[in-house]
Amino acid sequence: MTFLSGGFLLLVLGLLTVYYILPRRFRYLVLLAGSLAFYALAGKGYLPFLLVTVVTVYGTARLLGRSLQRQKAYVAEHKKDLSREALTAYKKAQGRKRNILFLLCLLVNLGLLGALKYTAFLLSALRAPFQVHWVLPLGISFYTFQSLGYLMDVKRGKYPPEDNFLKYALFASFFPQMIQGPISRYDSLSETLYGGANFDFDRLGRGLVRILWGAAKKLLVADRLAPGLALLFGAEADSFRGGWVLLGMVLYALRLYADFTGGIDMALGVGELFGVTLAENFDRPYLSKNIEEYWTRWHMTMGSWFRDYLFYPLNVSKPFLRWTKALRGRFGNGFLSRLPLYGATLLVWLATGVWHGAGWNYALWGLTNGLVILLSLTLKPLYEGFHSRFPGLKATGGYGAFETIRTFLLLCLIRLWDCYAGPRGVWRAFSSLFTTFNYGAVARGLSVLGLSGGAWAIVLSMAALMLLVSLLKGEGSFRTRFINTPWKLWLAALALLLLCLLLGAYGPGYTASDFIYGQF
Amino acid sequence: MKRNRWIAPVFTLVLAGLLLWGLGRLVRPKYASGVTLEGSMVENWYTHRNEGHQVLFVGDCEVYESFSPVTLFEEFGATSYIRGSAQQLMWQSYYLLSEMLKVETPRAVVLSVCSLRYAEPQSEAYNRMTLDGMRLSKEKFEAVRASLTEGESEISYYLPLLRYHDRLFELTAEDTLYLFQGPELTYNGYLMRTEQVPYTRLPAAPALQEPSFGDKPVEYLNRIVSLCREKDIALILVKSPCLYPAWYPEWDLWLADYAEQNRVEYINAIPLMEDMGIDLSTDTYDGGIHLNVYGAEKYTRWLGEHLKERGLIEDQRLDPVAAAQYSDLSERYAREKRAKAEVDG
Repeated sequence: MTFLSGGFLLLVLGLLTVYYILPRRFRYLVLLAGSLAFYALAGKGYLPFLLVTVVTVYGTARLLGRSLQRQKAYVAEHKKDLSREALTAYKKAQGRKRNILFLLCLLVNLGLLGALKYTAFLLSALRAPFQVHWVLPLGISFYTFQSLGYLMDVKRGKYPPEDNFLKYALFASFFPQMIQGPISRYDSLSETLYGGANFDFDRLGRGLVRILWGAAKKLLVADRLAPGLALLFGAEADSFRGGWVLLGMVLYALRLYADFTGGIDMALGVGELFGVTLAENFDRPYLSKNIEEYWTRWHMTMGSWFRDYLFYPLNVSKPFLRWTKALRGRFGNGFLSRLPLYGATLLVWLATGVWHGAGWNYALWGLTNGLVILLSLTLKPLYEGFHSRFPGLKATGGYGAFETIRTFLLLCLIRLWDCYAGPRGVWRAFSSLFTTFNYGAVARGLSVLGLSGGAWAIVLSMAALMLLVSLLKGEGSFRTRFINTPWKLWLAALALLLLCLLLGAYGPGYTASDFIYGQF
Repeated sequence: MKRNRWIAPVFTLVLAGLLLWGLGRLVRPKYASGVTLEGSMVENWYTHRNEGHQVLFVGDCEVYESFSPVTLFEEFGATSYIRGSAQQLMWQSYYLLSEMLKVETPRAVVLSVCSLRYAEPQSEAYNRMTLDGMRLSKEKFEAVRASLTEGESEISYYLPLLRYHDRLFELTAEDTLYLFQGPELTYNGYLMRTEQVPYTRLPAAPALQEPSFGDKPVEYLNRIVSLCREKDIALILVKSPCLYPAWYPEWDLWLADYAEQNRVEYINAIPLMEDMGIDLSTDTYDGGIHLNVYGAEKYTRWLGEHLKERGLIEDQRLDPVAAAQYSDLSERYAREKRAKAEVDG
């Protein structure tokens, strides 16, 4: 079941009706029932895996919370009669117990994720004489990470665990975020998730506009480009070189943006219908001026998850601190003393790559991102030296545009890992950019991508509209700035609905492709 | 101010409904020209539903290209209407007839049994030509449910925009001309063909796998029998004189038994062609697969005599309402027959 299926529409309409009829205190139960129904309908055999995560994380978090509470009470009670060393020893012993619990839960959940997602790949990589074809539950990477983030927050004492099992189950399984995220944080989601919002036409309209805007991106751009891109990167990829590679990587960036942000818009919009505020996942990423900035604006909830729950803990872990100290003592503040930081960065990027999928390409894609970021960090003094010689340059609009385009092309190049099979395929495509100058032939042969003149006009007009909305929205929300009266809101919803229905790529002739990020 | 928040959404909802309906009508194929004229025929009946027909014909090409209501009126004074479409399946005939019998009270229903051969839905294209023309009703809902082929979207039968939105770039003048009412290309449901392509040879019939018909078409045939019995309407099952695809003797026997058991009439017109005067060197437009207008008129004359003998029709030629209905129709019919015959040479 996807956002654009009749089943999903019926589910949301049914849930909305019951949700606003029931008293507020029962409304979260409607969302839970809907979420479980959605998940059960999404695929045969998915639900037990989700329930394992819900039960183990809920139980572990409760035990961790209780242990922290007990420790707090013990420390308060014995502060005066026990020595500092005795208290520290007690805390350490308690901490060890919590670590064991935490690691066990981590093992179960990451083990489940790893086994389901990577076993087939590993067996094939190891040339095992047999293969497995296990089911990969929808959104397992998203809900596992969301649940483990919650567990780590509880372990750190950031907030107490949720006592109500059903409320926790809803947090882990809230259906709009199961297809492709965002990866929510408990402290920011719980208030609206359990609050049971009052019925409000305006909020309904805002949610609808967001859903339809997401659908328009997907139907008018992503799905229209999908067949052409499948041709460029498919079995015949070797016959599309040079200009085709450049065209393919730019169109792929456009498609990925439309597909992923479109899906997130729909998820957030559905949440808004129920008064639930899900975390924003994008902040005009293609306007970034460097790759590091891009990764703070693209798939933000995943980036911040890796930062908060992997990168920072890794950097402040005892082995890493010891390593850094040893290197600093020996080499001062030079390049070599930063090796632990570089190592942690690459490790996090490797994990990010592997999170996206089972395959060498994903790992190499992650590592390339990490290397580019490290390279730009290392070269920072050079840039700064250059800009100190030309101080006015950075403030000019032209230079800003250059940085944006450079960053965009760089991330398109990195995504070649996403598009072609294996390092050899990526290398052939990449090198052809500098050896095959067939741009005239590409311009004349665009029709092979299967898009008519009208379809190109639709894709390009919608891309221009997406850019315009990005530029106009500034820091705030486009809807708050420009669609701010009930009439504007509802007529915008109608216009978007017609746009989707009339100009979208769907129905026979198109396999409304599943969301790309749904695979993760 | 807060109290009036519902006005904008309600207005938008109404406007959306109207636009979806209007745009759906705009992009839906009109079947006004080209080779698939049959797609507009099911809808045409709504214009004629209150004319009080004595005989209703239901089925596939073996009725809408085999019987001429104009001939039946001109020679016997019987009013009639054909509600047929290409490869109209038995369950579709049942739902179309059910819908007709809500407003019509005919004396006889003539049903083509040719489609009994199809146990399952065959193709979306034929489904569309039959079902798109039905107005929203319980019958349409059930007909769609019974007819869907794999991969078809049910909702697009009620919101045609979902199916035909890509036609937005292919719209022609016909799409606006027939926006609110489809083209009337038939003569009370009869699609006239005047070409003469003599019968020479047809592909050999493959060996029959199953001597009876599928459960599903038989179930709907039973329902048609019950429906007609309930309404006290004489049901006549016909196999028209069309030689392809093959009509096996086993099927003929099965139907003869069935008709006897259910006290309905079954006519296999293939062996009666000589009595009817049908000559397949002149009376078929495609080498024996379908009758042309000359064959259809002969077949209709024969059936008219039969209906008259059974007392199922009465002469309404002196009835001013019926005469008025048929005068324009007959004139248009004769004109087209002449014109087409001239073109055909």
